[in-house]
Amino acid sequence: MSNDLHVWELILNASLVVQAVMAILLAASVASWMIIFRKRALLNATEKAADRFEERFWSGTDLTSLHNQLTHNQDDDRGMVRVFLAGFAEFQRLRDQGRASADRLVGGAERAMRVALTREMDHLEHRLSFLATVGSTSPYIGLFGTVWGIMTSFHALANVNQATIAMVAPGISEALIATAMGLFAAIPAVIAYNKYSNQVDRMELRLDNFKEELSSILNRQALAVSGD
Amino acid sequence: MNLQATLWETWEQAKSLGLAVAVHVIAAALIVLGTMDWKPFKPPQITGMTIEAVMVDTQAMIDRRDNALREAEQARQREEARQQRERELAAQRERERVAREEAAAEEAERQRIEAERQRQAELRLEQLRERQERERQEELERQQAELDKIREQRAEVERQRKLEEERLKQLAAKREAEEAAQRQAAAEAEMQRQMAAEQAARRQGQMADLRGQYIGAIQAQVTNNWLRPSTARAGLRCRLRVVQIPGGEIISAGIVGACNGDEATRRSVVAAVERAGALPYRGFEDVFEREIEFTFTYDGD
Repeated sequence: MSNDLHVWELILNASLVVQAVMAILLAASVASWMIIFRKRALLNATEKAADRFEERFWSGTDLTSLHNQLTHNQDDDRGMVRVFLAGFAEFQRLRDQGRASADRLVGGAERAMRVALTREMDHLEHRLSFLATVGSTSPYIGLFGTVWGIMTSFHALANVNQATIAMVAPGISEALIATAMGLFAAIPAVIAYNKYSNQVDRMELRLDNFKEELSSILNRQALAVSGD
Repeated sequence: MNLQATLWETWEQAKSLGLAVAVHVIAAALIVLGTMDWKPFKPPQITGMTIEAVMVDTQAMIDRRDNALREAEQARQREEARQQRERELAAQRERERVAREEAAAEEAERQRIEAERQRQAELRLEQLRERQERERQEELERQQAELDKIREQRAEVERQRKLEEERLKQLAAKREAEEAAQRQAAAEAEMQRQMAAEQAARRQGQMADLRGQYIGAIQAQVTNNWLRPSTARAGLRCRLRVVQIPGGEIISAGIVGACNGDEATRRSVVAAVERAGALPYRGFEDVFEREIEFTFTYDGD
């Protein structure tokens, strides 16, 4: 079967540099698909939790009882819920200490919410940059493997007087597999990066809006407390 | 809790790794299937041409030697073939003689078997004839029995038919009774449904009543906080929209749609809402809305 060269045999017979390039690309592709699946699960869960929480928040329940319910039930403990818990816990703590003006109450709560929001955003954006890296560099890595393979296959022609296309064709075909693998790794990574970074941006906007609304509500409560 | 979170994280990692590997295995399988019918490459023959150039000199010599060898070999083969043929002819004659003797013996045996078979066949024929006669007799008897049975059945069918007619009459009577009962049941169900609909309407009415009370309470509160400017005239109608948070605190208020007062009156109405501070909330949780619209009215003192 020595003259029966299929694709996998081309890969097995490739030179060491080209094989290394292919191995790197395969690893990058597997890693980026792993990230794609994990990010999808995480972002969907965060959005669903935010939907549920907003519905509860605006349905007219008392903020203190909502806070108590949420601290006891930790199923949805992510995203918007964490921002709310951080802000309201800080607000309650400052209010219970007493002697704090309305501005200081709200300021403290806002700081706590900003910290929680930044932490949540960091959690959501984690590893997204890896997708961007794979998407932009793996075509070049694949191209490098191809160029190297073509170089060696032309080098082998140097000692031959009558060169035929049949002598270089297998080498070039083998080298082009590296480019194909690079594109295979890059395309899903770019698509997923664009989709997920857009989703993360929208989530950030939503959390930011919620933070502003909550701080205006807290401001009113603080004024009511210090007014009494 | 911490251990559980770590376990969960590991499980998530393993799951996504499995999915990623599955994607690649599928892609690899597609590629292999898609390139299955590629023409295989022939290995490049790099040294073929130079060797042919060297071989031109020796070719004639090699050919001559090969020819001599080939002729000697052919002569030897011819002699062997002749001897072989003679041996075969002798063997052939011997075989034919044996075959003739065997054929004679076979013929005698065959005739004996034939006679035996004929005798057997006659015996069987006799038996067959007897059996057929017996069967014909039985068949006659059976037909007679069948005729009797058919007659009986016909009588039975006639009796059944009469019974059936009787039963049909009874059924018709019963169906009429049932239909009457059904009509009555349908009438009752209709009555019950009407009652249920009335009850539902009453419940909705209660909800609407509560909402009406809610709006009324809001209007009363706003009117209490209103400082009437001198330009306000009786018959004032202003549509207001108020955004509130749970608890009744007002976030913003404004005039939407028609308002038949002048600028000062409008300002005074919005100021009245803002002075109210909080709208009624206790007792109205069921009809609470984040944004609520109502009409402010003034018909003179």
